Amino acid sequence: MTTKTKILNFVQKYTMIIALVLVTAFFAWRTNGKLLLPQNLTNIIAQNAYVFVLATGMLLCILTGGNIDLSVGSVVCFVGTIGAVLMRSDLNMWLAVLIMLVVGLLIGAWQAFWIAYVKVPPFITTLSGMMVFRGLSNVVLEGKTVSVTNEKFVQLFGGGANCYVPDVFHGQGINLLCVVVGVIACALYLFFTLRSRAVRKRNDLEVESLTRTIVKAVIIVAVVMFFTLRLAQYKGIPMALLWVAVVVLIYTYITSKTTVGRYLYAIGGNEMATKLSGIDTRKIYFFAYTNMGLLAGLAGILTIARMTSAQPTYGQNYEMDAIGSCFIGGASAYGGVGTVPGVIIGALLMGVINIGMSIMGVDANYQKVVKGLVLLAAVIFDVVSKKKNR
Amino acid sequence: MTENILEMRGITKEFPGVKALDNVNFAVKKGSIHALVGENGAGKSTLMNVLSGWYPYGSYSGDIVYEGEVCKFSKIKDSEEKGIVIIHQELALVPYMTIGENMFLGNEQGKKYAINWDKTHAEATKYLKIVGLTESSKTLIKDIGVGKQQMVEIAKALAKNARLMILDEPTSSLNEEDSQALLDLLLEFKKQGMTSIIISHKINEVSYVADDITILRDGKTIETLHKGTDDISEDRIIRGMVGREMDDRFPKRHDVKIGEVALEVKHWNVYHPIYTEKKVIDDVSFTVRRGEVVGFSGLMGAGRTELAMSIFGRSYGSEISGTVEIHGKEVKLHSPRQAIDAGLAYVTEDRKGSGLILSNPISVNTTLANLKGVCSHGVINHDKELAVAEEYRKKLNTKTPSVQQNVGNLSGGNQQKVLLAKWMYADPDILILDEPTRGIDVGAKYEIYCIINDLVAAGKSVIMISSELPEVLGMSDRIYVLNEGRIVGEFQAADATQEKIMACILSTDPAKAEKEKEQ
Amino acid sequence: MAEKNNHNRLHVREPLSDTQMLMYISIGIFAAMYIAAMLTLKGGFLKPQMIFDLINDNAALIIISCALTIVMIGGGINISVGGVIGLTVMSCALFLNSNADGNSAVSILLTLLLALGIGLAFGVLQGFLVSHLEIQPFIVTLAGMFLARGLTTILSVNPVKVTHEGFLALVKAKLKISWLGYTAQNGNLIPAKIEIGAIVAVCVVILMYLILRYTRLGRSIYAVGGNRQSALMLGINVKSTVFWSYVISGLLSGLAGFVFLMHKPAGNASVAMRSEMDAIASSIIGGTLLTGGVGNVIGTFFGSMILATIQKIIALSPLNASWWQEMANGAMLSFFILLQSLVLMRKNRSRRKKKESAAPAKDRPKDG
Repeated sequence: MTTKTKILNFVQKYTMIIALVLVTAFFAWRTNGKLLLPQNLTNIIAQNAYVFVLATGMLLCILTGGNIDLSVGSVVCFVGTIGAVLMRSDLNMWLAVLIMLVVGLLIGAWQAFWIAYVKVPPFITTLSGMMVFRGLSNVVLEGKTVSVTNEKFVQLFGGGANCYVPDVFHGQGINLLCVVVGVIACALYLFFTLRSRAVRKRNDLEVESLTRTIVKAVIIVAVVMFFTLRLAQYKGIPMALLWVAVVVLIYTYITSKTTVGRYLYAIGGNEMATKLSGIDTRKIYFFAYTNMGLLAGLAGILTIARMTSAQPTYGQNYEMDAIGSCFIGGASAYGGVGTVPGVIIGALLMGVINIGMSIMGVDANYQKVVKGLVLLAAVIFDVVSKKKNR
Repeated sequence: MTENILEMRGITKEFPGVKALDNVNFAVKKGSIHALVGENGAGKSTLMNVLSGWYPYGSYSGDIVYEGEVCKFSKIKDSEEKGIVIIHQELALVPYMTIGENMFLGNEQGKKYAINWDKTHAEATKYLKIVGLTESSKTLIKDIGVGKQQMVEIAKALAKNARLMILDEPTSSLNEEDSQALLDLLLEFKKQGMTSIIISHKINEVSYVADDITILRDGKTIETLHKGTDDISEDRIIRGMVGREMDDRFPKRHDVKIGEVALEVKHWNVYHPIYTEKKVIDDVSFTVRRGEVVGFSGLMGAGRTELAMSIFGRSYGSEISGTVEIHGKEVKLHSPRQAIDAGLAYVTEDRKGSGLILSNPISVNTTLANLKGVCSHGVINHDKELAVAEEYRKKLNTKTPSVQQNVGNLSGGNQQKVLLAKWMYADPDILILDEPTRGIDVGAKYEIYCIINDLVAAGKSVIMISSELPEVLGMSDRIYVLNEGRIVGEFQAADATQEKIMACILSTDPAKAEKEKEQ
Repeated sequence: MAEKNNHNRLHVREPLSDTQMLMYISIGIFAAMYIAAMLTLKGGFLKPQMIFDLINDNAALIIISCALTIVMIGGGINISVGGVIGLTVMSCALFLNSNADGNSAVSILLTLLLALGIGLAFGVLQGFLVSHLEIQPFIVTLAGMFLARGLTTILSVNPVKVTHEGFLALVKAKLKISWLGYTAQNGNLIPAKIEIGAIVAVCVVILMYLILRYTRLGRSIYAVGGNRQSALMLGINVKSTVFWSYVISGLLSGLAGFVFLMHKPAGNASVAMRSEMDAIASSIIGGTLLTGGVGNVIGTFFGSMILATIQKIIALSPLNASWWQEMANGAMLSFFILLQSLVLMRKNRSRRKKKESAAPAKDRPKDG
C-alpha cells in the first residue's frame, strides 16, 4: 500500500472525527478560545442533550434500511405535556417519570405495529403520528404553557441553574468528582482495550499494531481528561451529560454486541438474505420503532426539565435535527451502515457549529443555512466516495 | 433467396472476467423467422441486447449492418427508430397502467406536446385486433393474464413500426394453447413480410416456425442450419447445443453410503405470489436420501428455485400445499427459522441479492444464520465469531487477507464459499444448493465440488439445482428433471446422458417425458 | 433473467391500493363531509361562497400539493416546498417594498419572476442532486428545507408587511359573481368573491392534470415511478424524467409563494411552516401512492379540500380551537391508510376466490 492510499484510507475512515477537530479548532481560533471555556463546553452538552438521545434512537430506524421516524418531535412534546400535567397535579415525581416513559413506549409500539406487521410505509405512519401527537399536546395543554415546578425533577433531568451532579468530594474551586470520573473512565478504557488485545492475541486473532493502539489510547485519554478537567473548573458534570452517557453506552453496546443490533445492520444490508437466514425481520422493525418511542419519551423528560415547562410548540423540528445528525455522522441513507459513536460525533459537530457561531456573534439564523449545507455536504461526500470505491 | 436484412459481424462483448460473446457472426434474411438457440449462458440474450442498443455502441467490438448500413446504436431508442424492436423475456409492462397506455409508453401518440388519447386507444384497439385480443385497451395490465400480456408486448412492438422483431423466450411463461397462438401469429406476420428473431429453449417450437437456426455455445456461433437444406430435427439441434465432451472436471466420490430417506416432499403445489392465478409448482413429489446428491435439472423458469424456496419456510409463493417429511416425520415449515431448525439449508443462487450482505465482513456473514452459536443471552462474543469465521475460511480455503474483509470485495468463487460457510455453520442435515457454481471460474468450481463431496461423506444430503448439464451429470447420484413446475423425468446417474436429459427438458409434452422415463 | 426478476418482486412491498378507486373515495368523502357540515353546522356552509373560501384560503396549499403529487408519482419526495414558500414570500415582500415607487405593473411582474426564479433554482439544484448524483430525495430536500428556512430568517427575522400599493390592489382584486352571492341581513346583495390566487391554483391543477395525462413527460413520470426497470427498457430517459419532476415541483413552490403573498401580503419567518406535511397528506389522501406510479392531481385537489373543510368545520364548530386541526389531519391520514389497506385486502380476497373456482376447470383439459 502506498503512502497516498494509506492517507486516503485514513481520511475516509475518520472523516467525521477530522471534520469535528477542524471545525472545533476553527471556532476555537475565531473565538479566541472562548469555545473551549468550561461554560461553553457544558452548554454544548446540555443544549443538545435531546439531539443525542433522539439521534441514537433514529439511528436504529435508519439502520433498518434508511427508514425514518418523523413523529419524534411531536412525541417529545406529547410526553412532556403528559408529564407536566401530571406533576402539576402533584403526582409523585418517579411515578410521573415512569408514566412518561411508558407513554413513549406505547406510542412507539403503536406505530411500530403498523410499520412492522401491516407494512404501512414508515414515512406515512410517522407523518400521521407527527400530526396526531402535536394536536393531542395542544388539546391537553389547551394551547397554553404549563410550568414544571418540581425542583427535584428539574434538577435530576438537567434543567435549572443547579443541574449538576453534586460533588461528593467537596473539592475547592474545582469539581473533584468530575476529575475522578474522568480518571476512572480513562482507566476503564485502557483496561478493556488491553484486555481484549491480550485475549485476541492468545486466540491467534489478528490485532492492531501496538503503536496504533498506543496512539489511539493517548489521544482518547487526552481528550477525555481535557474535557473533564474543563468541566470540573465550571460546575462539574451536567446531569444532562449523565443521561446522554447512559443512553450512548447502552445503545453502543446494543448495536455492536447483541444479536438484535446485528440483525438491525443485517436488514439494512440485505433484507432478503436476512429473512432467508431465519430471522423474523418484522420483530426487528418492531423493536426499532418501539425503542424510538421510548427514547422520544426520555427526550421529552429532558426537554421539559430543561425548559421547566411544557408548551405545545416544543419539539418542533427535533426529528430533523436527529435525522440530520445521523446522516452527518455517517449513517447510510440506504441502511445497514452507521454507528452510535458516529452519530454522536455528527450531533456534536452540529452543536459545536451552533455554539461557535453564536459566540462569534453570527446571526443565529445563518445556523440553519449552515446546517443544511453541512448535511448536504456530508451526504454528497458519502455518495461520491462510495461511487469511487465501486 | 432475398438479401440479408441484418448482419452482425465479429461481435465480441466482455464483462469483467467473462467473455460473453466471442467473435459472433450472425445473419438474418429479410422476411424470415430466424431462431437463436443455445444453453443457458450461451450468450443469446447478450447478443440481442447488443443489437438493440441496450449495450451501447463502443461497449462491444464488431459491426452491426442493418439494411446495408453500419449502425451505431447508443440507446434503445436508436434501434427502435430503425424498426428493430426487442421483446424481453421479463415483460416491460407497468402493471398499474392500461393496455393502451402501456402500448404507447415512450412512443406517445399525438402532437409533440399533447397526447391524443382517443387516437391512442383507437390505435391500440387496431393493433390488439391484429394480435387477436378482444380486451378493451382501457383494461389495466395487471388484470389480464400472462399470455395476453405477452400479446400486448407484441402489439406494442407492431405499434412501433417494427420491421425486425426480436422475441426473447416469448413462450416461457405461456401455456401450450397461448404458445401455439403466438407462434401462428409469427407465421402470419412472416407472410406479410415481417422479419423475426426468436430466442427459445423449446426446440419443437423452433423447428415448427424457424426458417434458419443459429446455434450459440459458450459465446461462439457454432453453426447455422437452414430449413430445407439441413436436418433440423430436434436431435440434430440438441447435438449442436450440447456438443461438449465430458471430462474429469468432477472429483470422484469414494464409498459414500447412501442411507435412508432424509427428506420427502409430497404433492407440492405453489402459486405465484403476485399473479396468484398462476401455478408455479404443480404436484411435485420427490425424495432425497442420506449421503446422496440429487440433481435438479431444467430450464430457467422451470420452477426449480421456486420449488426450493417454497419448501424452505415458504420463502416464495402463495397458497402452498403439500407435505414435507424430514427423517420420516412430517414437519410444518412456515418460516425460514423453522426450516433451519428442522435441519434444512437453502443456499441461494442469487448471492448478491438474497444471500450475502456485501457491505459486511466475512465474519458477520458466516454467523448470520446461526448467531446463537457465538452468543450467550443475546450478547455476541466477537472473538468467538472471528474464530468460527477463521475456521471455515481454512476449511473451505477461502482466499482473503482477513475474515474482517467485506464480502463485497471478494471474487465470485470466494463469495460462494462464504455463502456455503454460512450454511455449513448452521449445521443442516439437508442442503439445497441453488446454482452453486454460477459465475465462478473453473478452479473454484472444482473446489466447490469437493466441498459437496465432503458434505455427503459426512452424512448430509445435498440437493443441487443447476442449469449446467455436465455438472448435474458429473455430481449427482440421481437426477430429477423439472419443466414448467412439474417433474417430467427422473434418472439414475448411471443411465443419464446429456442428450436424454435435454430431450426430456425440451419436450413440452409431459406424456412423452413419462414414456422416456420408463425406457 | 426471469428468475432474477422474480426475486426482485419479492422485495417489493405490495402497493396499497388500486389506481382510480382511492381518488373516488376521497371525492366521496369530501362530498359527504361537506353535506354533513351543511346539515349540522348550516351557516356559512349553505352559501356557495364557502367553497370559494376553501380555495381562496388554501390556494398555496393546493399548488404545493400538486408539486408533491408529481414528485411522489415519480417515486420521490420533496419536503422543501414549505421552506421555499417561506423564502419566496419573504424575498418578494422585501423586493416589493424596495420598489414601492417604481412602475407598479413592472415591479409586480418582476416579483413574479423572482418567485418563479427562486423556485426554479431550488428545483434545478435538488433535481440534479437526486437524479444525477442519486442521493436520496428525502435528504436532499431536507437539506433544501434547512437552507430555505435559514435564508428566510437571514433576509429578515421580523415580519415584513408589503406596502407596495399596486400589489395591495392586486391582493384586493377579486372576481365577483353576483348570482352565486347571497343577501345579507341588511338587505344588501353580497356577491361571491374569488381571489386571483384561487384562480391560479385551479389553473395549476388543470395544467398539471393535462401535463401528467397528455404529455410524454407525464407518462414517463408514471412509468419511472411504477417500474423503474421497465422504464429503462422502454428507452425512457429516467434521469431527465426525475430531474424535470423536481424542476416542476420547484417552480410550483415558487408560484405557491407568490400566491401566498397575494392572500396574506406579509413575509414572516414562520410562513407556511409544516405545510409540506399537509401537502404530502393531501396527496396521499387523494390517492397518490408513496411508492410511486399511482396518483392524480384531481385526487390531490380533493385531498387538500378535505383538509381545508376539516379546518373550516373545526373553526365553526363549538370546538373552536385551532389545535384540533393538526390532530384531525393526522387522524384523516391514518383513516385513509387504513382504508387503503382494507380495500386492497378485500380485492385480493375476491380475486383469490375467483381463482379457486376457476382453477380446477383450467386443469381438467390437460389431465384428460
